[in-house]
Amino acid sequence: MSFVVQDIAKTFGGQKVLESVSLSVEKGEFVALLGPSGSGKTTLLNIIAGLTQPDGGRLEIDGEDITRLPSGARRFGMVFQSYALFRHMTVADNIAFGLRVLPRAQRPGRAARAEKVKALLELVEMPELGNRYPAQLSGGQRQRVAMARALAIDPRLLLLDEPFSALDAKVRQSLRSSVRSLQKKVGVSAILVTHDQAEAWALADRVAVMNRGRIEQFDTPEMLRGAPATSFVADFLGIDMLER
Amino acid sequence: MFRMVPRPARLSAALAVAAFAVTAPVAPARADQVEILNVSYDIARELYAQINPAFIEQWDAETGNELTVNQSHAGSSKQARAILQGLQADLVTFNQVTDVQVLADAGFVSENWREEFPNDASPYYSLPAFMVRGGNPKGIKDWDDLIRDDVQIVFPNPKTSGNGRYTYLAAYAYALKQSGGDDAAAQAFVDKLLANVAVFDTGGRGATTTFVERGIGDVLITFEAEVENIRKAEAEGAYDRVVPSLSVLAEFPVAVVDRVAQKRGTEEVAKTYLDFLYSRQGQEILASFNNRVHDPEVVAAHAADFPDVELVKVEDVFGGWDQAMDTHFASGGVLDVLLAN
Amino acid sequence: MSLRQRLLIGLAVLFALIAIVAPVAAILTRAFGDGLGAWWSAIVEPETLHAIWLTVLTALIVLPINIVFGIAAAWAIARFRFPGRRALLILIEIPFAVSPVIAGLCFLLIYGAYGPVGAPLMNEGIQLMFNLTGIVLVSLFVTCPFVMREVLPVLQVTGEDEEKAALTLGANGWQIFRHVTLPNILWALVHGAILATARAMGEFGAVSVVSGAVRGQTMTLPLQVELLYNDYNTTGAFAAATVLTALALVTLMLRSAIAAVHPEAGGRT
Repeated sequence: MSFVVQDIAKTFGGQKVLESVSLSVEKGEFVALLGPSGSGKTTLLNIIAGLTQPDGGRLEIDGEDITRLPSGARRFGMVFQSYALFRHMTVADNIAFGLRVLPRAQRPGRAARAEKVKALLELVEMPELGNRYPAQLSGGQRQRVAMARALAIDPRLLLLDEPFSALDAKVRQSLRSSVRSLQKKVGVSAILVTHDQAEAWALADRVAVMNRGRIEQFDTPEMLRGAPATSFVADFLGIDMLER
Repeated sequence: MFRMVPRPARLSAALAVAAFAVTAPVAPARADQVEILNVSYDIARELYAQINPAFIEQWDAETGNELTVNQSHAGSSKQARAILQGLQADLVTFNQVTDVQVLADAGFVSENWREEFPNDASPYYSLPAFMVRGGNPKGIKDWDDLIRDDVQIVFPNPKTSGNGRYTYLAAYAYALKQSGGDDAAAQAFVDKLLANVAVFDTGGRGATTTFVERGIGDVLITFEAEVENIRKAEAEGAYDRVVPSLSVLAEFPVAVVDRVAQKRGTEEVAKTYLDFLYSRQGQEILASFNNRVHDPEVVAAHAADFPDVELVKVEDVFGGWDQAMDTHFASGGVLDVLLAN
Repeated sequence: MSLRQRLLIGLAVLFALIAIVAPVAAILTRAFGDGLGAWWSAIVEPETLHAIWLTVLTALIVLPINIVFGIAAAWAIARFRFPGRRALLILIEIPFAVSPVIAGLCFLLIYGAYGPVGAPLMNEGIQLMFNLTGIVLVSLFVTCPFVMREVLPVLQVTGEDEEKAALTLGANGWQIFRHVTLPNILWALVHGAILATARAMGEFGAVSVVSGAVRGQTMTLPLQVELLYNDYNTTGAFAAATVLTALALVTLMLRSAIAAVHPEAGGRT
């Protein structure tokens, strides 16, 4: 699987939010979009997810043009910043949702769905909690349910929108490594949006540093730190480095 | 963006269609099944609830056809407006000549509608009269008594109520006669009368409530028929009727609404219905509801119910309703001047 | 408890007594003044029964239309930015600002037999005013803001991310509405629907203008109450009023029951 973002542009109310953004994600690769708020990273993720239409450019997965494909048909699993769990459904129903809404011909039977939910609950290490409602879970547990729900549709690409920002520091640390190991275990390519460098370094194979709707540099963490391509990248990383 | 077609939309569409089906005018199933609508004033419900079955019986006997008479009751000005907007009235039975005239002016009713039925197309009539508290403790006998300092009056505001306008004009006509036609004297008299008004309600029913339920005032002025209807509804002897020496003729005009009746083919039955109001049987029912009628035999039979009174016509004393409205009730008219005092 | 608190509570109780308890008590004493038998025979008068039926029928027709329209409008306003969105937001509040009688007159002018819409339909034999259709139309007008006003704030604060999540998971519009949006707004929706229904059943002014007041045909319960009252049929009028009061009380109890179980639904307005 390879995913390509080509010359994506987006304007909101006369303001250019994305200008000719290009990017590629290799099979099993974990890519982070890193940048300050307003840099366009969330808009780019929404365009990839199909929640926002780009004004120009192209999205391709394994050579297939998916720029105009409806969100639901892309089969991209997305974990929202707020997790966006269905508050009226149990954890198990949340996870099974993507299977339940499949057209009848493709929909697995009830038993198969239960089997899948059980496997996913075990994968995210909360096998006993299927009957709980989201309101009865801790922040970390909710995040893992959101992961499981996104993985349930066997996604071609996993999209993570600031998935750790609502958690306290301790939980964040442990969840980071579990997200990374989950992604590896499943073998799915992933794109993470974050404003937190530490997160990007800890998770990503490659990082795209974004500023004002452009990608300033797209490289491995080592290369970014070793050879920042622009002064923005140097500043952005440097200032942050001093703080640590 | 995503679209949805919620299933309830279909349900409500079905219901809307059903509503249309229920209400769309349905062609009569049988040619001899006729339906007419009598659009009438607001306090005539029980009267026509007795008239209609009597007429239906007569119609059935004469033609063998099944007839339904529907009734609509509301303030007659509002009813006239509704007909102008399409209320399918085959005929009207109003309590204001002006409201039929509105229909005539708009071409719904024949121009010379007042000649189409006897007595200026008014099968019955009434007059402003007094209702006093039981035993008449203040000894009220005529309009003169109403301007005494110790008497408080209740009647609806002539600005908003046809009933109130009749009362105003009756008092005015009385004073004109007393003074030999002196308008200044008449206005002074009405001025004193207005000064004695305890409460000005907007309509007849409100005035009745003020007088009967709130116990305000010594005398309520309203149509004679209404006085009797109120007395019937209340404890016996609680109120007395007093008929003044002079009052204004209050007509109850009727007309066939040609424009509707022609279209629906109900002209004949509508005309026959109104003729029935002039028949002995019709007049008897009208009189039993305390309306004054014209049929000599019915008048004789009910002579004791209706004391003698001198009645003047608005046409004769005030030059007709249009002029009375202009002179007295329009903005800046005599009534406004007197009320400002 | 301070003196001021007592005074305030006393005032509130006094107000409730004057404005609510006393009138309801008056209705009940008048209605049952001549005994239970008189009350019952006044209720089962064919015309009063018909008025009850017509009132309920109107509410039943208006309810689903209100629900669909209210949800659609609230959803459009909460989820999308489109030209005329602000106008729609203002437009939908108009029924609360316009006097119902004026609204009724406007309907007559447009949909009456000589109005721009009414006249061509009349030529086809379709009459819009002075029948059930007219009553339903004006009832819709006066009640259409309720559902939207209840649902909109709930939609605005909840569920957009959930709807997006459902979308990425492959759900279609109807599935999203059915499984995600509807459960979120359900109680606000029920609350709005109850308010709209109460208003539809109690509406007098607008209905009075377009009803035509045909006895036993286009008289809704509030109109029937006035008619009977004007006829000096006090028992009949107040007996019919007890039915309206009972309908209102049922509504009120439903509303507070919902508010008790789902506090997020009630309390507004």
